[in-house]
Amino acid sequence: MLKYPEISKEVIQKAISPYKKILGNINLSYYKKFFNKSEKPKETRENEIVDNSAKLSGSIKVNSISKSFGQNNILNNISLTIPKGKIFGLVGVSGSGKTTLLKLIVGFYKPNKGSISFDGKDVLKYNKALRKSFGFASQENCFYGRLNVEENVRYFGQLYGLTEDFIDSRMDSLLKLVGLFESRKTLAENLSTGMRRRLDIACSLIHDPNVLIMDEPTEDLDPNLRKEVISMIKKINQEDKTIIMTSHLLNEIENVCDVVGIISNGKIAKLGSPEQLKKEYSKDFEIHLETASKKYTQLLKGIKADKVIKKKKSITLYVKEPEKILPKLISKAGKKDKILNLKVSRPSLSEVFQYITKNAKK
Amino acid sequence: MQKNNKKLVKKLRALSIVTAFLGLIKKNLKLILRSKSSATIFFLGPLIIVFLVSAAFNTSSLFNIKIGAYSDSYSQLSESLLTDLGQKQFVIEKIETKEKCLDDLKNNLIHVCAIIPQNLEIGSEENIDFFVDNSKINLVWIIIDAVSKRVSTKSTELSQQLASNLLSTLEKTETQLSPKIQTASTIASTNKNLETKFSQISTSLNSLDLSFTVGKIGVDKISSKLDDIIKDNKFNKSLFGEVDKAILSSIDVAEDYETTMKEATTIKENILSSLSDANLLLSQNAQGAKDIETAITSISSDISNAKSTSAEQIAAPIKLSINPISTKTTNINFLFPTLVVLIIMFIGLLLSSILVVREKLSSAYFRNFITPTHDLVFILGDYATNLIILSLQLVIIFGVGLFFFKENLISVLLKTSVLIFLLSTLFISLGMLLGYLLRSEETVVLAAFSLGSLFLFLSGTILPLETLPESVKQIADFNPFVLGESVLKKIMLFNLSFTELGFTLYILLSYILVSFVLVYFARKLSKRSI
Repeated sequence: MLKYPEISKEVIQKAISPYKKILGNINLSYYKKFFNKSEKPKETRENEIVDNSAKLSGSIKVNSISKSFGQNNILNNISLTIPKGKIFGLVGVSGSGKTTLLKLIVGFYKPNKGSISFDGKDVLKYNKALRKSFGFASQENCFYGRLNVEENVRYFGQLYGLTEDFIDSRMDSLLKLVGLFESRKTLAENLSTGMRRRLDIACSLIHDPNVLIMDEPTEDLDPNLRKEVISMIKKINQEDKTIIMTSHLLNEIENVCDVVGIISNGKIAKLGSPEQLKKEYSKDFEIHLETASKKYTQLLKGIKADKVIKKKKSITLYVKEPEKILPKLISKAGKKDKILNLKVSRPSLSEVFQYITKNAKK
Repeated sequence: MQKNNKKLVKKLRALSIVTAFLGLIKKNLKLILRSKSSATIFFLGPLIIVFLVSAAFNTSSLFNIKIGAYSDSYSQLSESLLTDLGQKQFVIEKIETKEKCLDDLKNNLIHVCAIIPQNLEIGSEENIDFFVDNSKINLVWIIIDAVSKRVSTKSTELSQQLASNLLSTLEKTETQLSPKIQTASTIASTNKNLETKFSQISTSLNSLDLSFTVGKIGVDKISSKLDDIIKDNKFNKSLFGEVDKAILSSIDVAEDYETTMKEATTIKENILSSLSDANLLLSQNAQGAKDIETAITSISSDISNAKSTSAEQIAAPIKLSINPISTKTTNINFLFPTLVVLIIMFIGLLLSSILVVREKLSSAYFRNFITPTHDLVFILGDYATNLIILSLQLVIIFGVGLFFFKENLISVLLKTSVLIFLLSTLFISLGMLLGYLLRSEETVVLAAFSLGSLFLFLSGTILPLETLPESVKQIADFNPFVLGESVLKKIMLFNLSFTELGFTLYILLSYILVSFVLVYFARKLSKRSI
């Protein structure tokens, strides 16, 4: 596991040496505390559930947040808690307000109603102070194309008030973490798409934040690059950093996230771990059936299913005991019709998402 | 301990602000310099401008002003006028027809079309018509002024010549009249003598008694006595017939004499009357002669007492001398302050607005907002970057400026630098405001140019402010470009102190303050476009 270096007394001395005149004679222990930031987060319980996570220090609590732009209501009375050290996935259809929620969390937007707190402190009230606790990797590449990798990272480090020596001490390990060490002198505009995404993440991590927010980190990446980024996210999370990410690719969310929030119509429609959500929606098995006639009314007579979703060409039945239903279906369909496709499975997060978002619309 | 920690936190905050501020400037400069075209324009642009302007305006003359002339028939006077204009700074071109002359003016082949009357002579009633193209607003007044000056000079020369002729005639008249005063005096005196003589004659004639009657000689008494004697002596009357005859004859003679005397008296009276008339005429003549003498004396005196006896004084009774308030001799001296303010204005507006809008449109803009760095640090960082670039450009310009007017510039360098700093700050902040308010580079460039052009049009650089309507002029008086230009001119040309420029400086400072406040809020607003 790659660790950020502990800042030693010597490094601090070197870092503050140009400013000795300004700072005067001071106790280095204060600086050590300042540079090394807060103590590392405590271990969290493996199967911690969302509801009790608020008790943990360093958690983010979104409390009845509403946000609108003009007449357009984006978020409506959202409440959720993101536990410390977890990877939180936020999913929702395009324009559902995922990015707005992320920007509210970092204090970029002010909510119309409600509050957000980090580690018990109001993000709006302590906005400037808490900004060092957040890193934000956006959908777009938030860096300068005409600066090279190192210069970009250094610049954003300076904006976080870090000294040159401190940045230098972090630079190598950070660039190694995101796999850009070899390309440190390459102009950002000359980087590949995947490298740009990694640079963006590096820029978000230079100040060693407690929380890394990633808005669509795998968007527009090919499967290999996606894997790389996901692996990097996991590595970063191993540093006890809370990660909040959004994605349209629900299988990724399912694989990487500890907690998932499904946002629909400006509200959190569902919140829980992927397993919890799937469990909730997978008491049933899914039976996907497609026949040649595409007529299913007669076929479903006498078949007991918890839920039936009719699609244009096929139907999906949610049943508890597929072994009892399947022979009946095959027998009925086989007599008058021809079975084109028959599949039995447990619902994925993607299907849970589709189900929830469709129902929310209704 | 807690107190110390608070102090430390403050110091660390200041330290992080300085780090962020310097980082911002470094980043901005790198971004600009890594674009080769931008870097070239930023550093070579002002050099090229200043070299061209210096070369072009390092004179106070007008060059290549072409005057097209047309006349049905050129007289000696018109030829002389054209030669005179040609010898000065104008190029004279004789054109075949009046229409062509006017067409050439419209087509910008000539700058002035002069229509000279046929056989122009002194005192000619017809005018020389000069036609100018009023659409060339910036040039027309200079041309009119230059041509009128030359024509006026020629006209004055002719007036002097005419006045000189007139003066010599007067002088000659005076010379000829002076001796005639004596003549008139003599005539008057002679007449007076004659008058006296005539008076004496009249007196003599008056004293001459020409009264005579027959009875006066007593013939009646003689005849009566004779009759008595005859009667007494009883003489025969016939004896005295002869005597009687003689008496009678004497009476006849006496009567004739009486008649003659009467006639003589009449003649005498006629003579006296004539003498009286003559005397009167002589008296009138004497008075006339006296009047002539007085008149000639007066004319002569007036001529000799005339104040202007020189033709130059008569042709130009008021001597006009336009003296420059500044000792500078070439146009570049007067243009340099304007040029500097112009460069500050356009570069300040364009550079800062483009820098801000590029930053705003950059995907990295969002990340800047989520860092703990305060908005003011970003604003000051951008401002400082612009100020550094603008200062470098101005150093180049002033470096070249030193070549032309070293002494003048060095003496006012400190004051000029302070003012340039204020002006740069103002125009940079205005540019930044545009950058934060507008959402695309094209719009920002257009807005910066428009604002700069507006300031330029509402200044005296293109059109004199005095030609603008009063209401517009009142607004234009508060135009930052006008204020900046006037203050810089006052400092660079007349070396005025800041105390003397107080009011204008306060206005500039208020503009800067308002502008920065607006920039701060515009930056806050710009978050909405992310």
